[in-house]
Amino acid sequence: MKKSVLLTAFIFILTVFLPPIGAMAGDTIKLGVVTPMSTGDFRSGKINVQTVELAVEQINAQGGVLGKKLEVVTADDEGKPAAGVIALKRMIAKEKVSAVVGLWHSSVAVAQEKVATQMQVPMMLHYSWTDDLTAGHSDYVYRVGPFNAEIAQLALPYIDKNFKNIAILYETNAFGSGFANYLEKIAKAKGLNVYSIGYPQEATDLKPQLLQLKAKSPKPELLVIAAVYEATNLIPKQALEIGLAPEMQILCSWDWPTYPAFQEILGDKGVGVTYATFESDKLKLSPLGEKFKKAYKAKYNVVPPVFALFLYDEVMILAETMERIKSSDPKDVAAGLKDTKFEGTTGLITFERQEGPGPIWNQWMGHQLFINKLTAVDGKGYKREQIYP
Amino acid sequence: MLLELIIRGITIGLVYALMGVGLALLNGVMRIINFAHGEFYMIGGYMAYYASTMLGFQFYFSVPTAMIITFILGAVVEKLLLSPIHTQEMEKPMDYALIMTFGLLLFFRQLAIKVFGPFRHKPADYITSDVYILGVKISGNEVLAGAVSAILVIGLAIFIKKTWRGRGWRATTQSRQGAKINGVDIGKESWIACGVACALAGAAGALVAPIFTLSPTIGGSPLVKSYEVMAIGGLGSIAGSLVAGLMLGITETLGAFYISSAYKDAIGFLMMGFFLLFRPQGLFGQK
Repeated sequence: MKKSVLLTAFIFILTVFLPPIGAMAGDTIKLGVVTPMSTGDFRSGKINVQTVELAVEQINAQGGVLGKKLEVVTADDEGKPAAGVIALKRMIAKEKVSAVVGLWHSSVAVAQEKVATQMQVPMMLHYSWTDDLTAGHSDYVYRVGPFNAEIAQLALPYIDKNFKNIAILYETNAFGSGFANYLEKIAKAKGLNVYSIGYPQEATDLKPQLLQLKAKSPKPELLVIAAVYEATNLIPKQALEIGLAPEMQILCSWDWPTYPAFQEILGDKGVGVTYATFESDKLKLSPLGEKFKKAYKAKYNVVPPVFALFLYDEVMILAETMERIKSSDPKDVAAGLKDTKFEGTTGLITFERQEGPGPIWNQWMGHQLFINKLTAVDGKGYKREQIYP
Repeated sequence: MLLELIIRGITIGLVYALMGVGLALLNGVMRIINFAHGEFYMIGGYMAYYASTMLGFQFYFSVPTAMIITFILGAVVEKLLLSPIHTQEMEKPMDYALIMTFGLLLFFRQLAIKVFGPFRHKPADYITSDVYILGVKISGNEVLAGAVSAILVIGLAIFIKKTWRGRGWRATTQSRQGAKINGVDIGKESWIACGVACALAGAAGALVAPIFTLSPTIGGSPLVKSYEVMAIGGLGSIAGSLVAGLMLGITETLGAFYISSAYKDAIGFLMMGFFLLFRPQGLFGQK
């Protein structure tokens, strides 16, 4: 009895208190990927993991970083802030990663940003759009991906050229409010008439808000939808049902009309809807971008989405930074990232810092935005046409 | 515009009534608060979706299919998990029911994420054309949902008034002991009533599935509306549920338009709060 108790205690101490073998050996540099893998947008999470694995494979094939192999460590944030915080804390404390990438949902990343800053480990954002993420001016948060205010700014020339009265329907969360407030501000500055209405993100009946817009005079000619959750597909559907659209054009603030659920819910009524996107056949890729696209297609048999390009850039930037500063210590890496000058997949990446309040802090600003229109539908999906630029 | 708002308020109000009436029935016969009521709405929606997409059923088959499945599920839940309320001597049966149904809510929601996936789905439109009522264009799906909800609520009211079983349920609502003495099998009537209540929630979910679409988490809002309807209409009152549903639907729609759409859900809470404070028995309930 006594012997078995001692044995159990010994095993407990071994498993709980001893560091993992990888960390003891110190023969690899660990790169953390915290991303949704089981719930939330786990499909994008899978692409995130695949992208990082491919980038690390290429780096290791060329000798690794600082003479060591890069090792990918993954954790599931379930698309939930609480789970995301635990996953990140665990990754930093237990796995001793040099940096973290793959963060996805804005609401989760907002909670994780504080952890990364507090634990002094750099985190890089490739497709989390909330302005708040870089507005805190943390030295440990870098973003290669776009952000809300930038998207509004890039879409404004198209809106200004074609419309005089616009409506913005937005979720009252960090993503929706941030986008709507900024677009309203810059559109009004251009002399446009703007109606802006918020709604709770869990709402499924948006007809009260749409009826309010229907009663406005002058009538809005464009409805911009800033949503991520339940109402993404419901707003266009319900706008059509009450007769607000198609007379009023619909512009989705990101490319959810390319997702299968949009076609299932709207069917042929979705034709005519427009959306902002970073994906385009006309997206200019650098030689590195072409190389990554080819390698991704060869390995996974699909063309990588645009966010994979930004994530790939981030891994390459981290490797380049560690080589440049001759250190994989998280604090050194965070400081070194500031001086990045990297020819990425879609352009030269540098991180801008604008003093004073605002999201331009450790932020790359060289994105290309496109506006597409759904023109027809058949069994294979929607046909689309690029209408801007 | 006012006419359009009122017509829309009536159609959504009738669906609220259908949700609320099921909860009122369950509360009357079993004297429990069912936190999982919204989950039967969600399951009903998914059953109609699969019946229409996989089996190719039209709505007149897919909605009854959803009702049958949710009836069976509700009856099984009562038999396995809720029946101890009347088969065992329990000090606090209401607490037991609260905990059990809250657990069921979490269980069904997680199960739905695993089984149905996290993404939104929508069955094909039940009625593809629009309908004009007094010159107002309303989608055929909304008119169908409102009309079928009204038929089901009125049908239930007639069933309860005219049939032996319905009288038994009324007797149980008034006095369980008295009903027992007069030959009502409380155990049997409980699982049937639970099944019917869940089938009504399932019907509501199936009817509005093409309007609001489906996801595993859609049960929360209808649950809240059901409680609002029950509190306004009066515990256990079917006529009260119908009137309360209509009141809630119309007031919410008008309030959202004329005051602010941001307060749409707050309007229901305010109405419920008003009744709980100044008329706790509701519109048709007894003191």
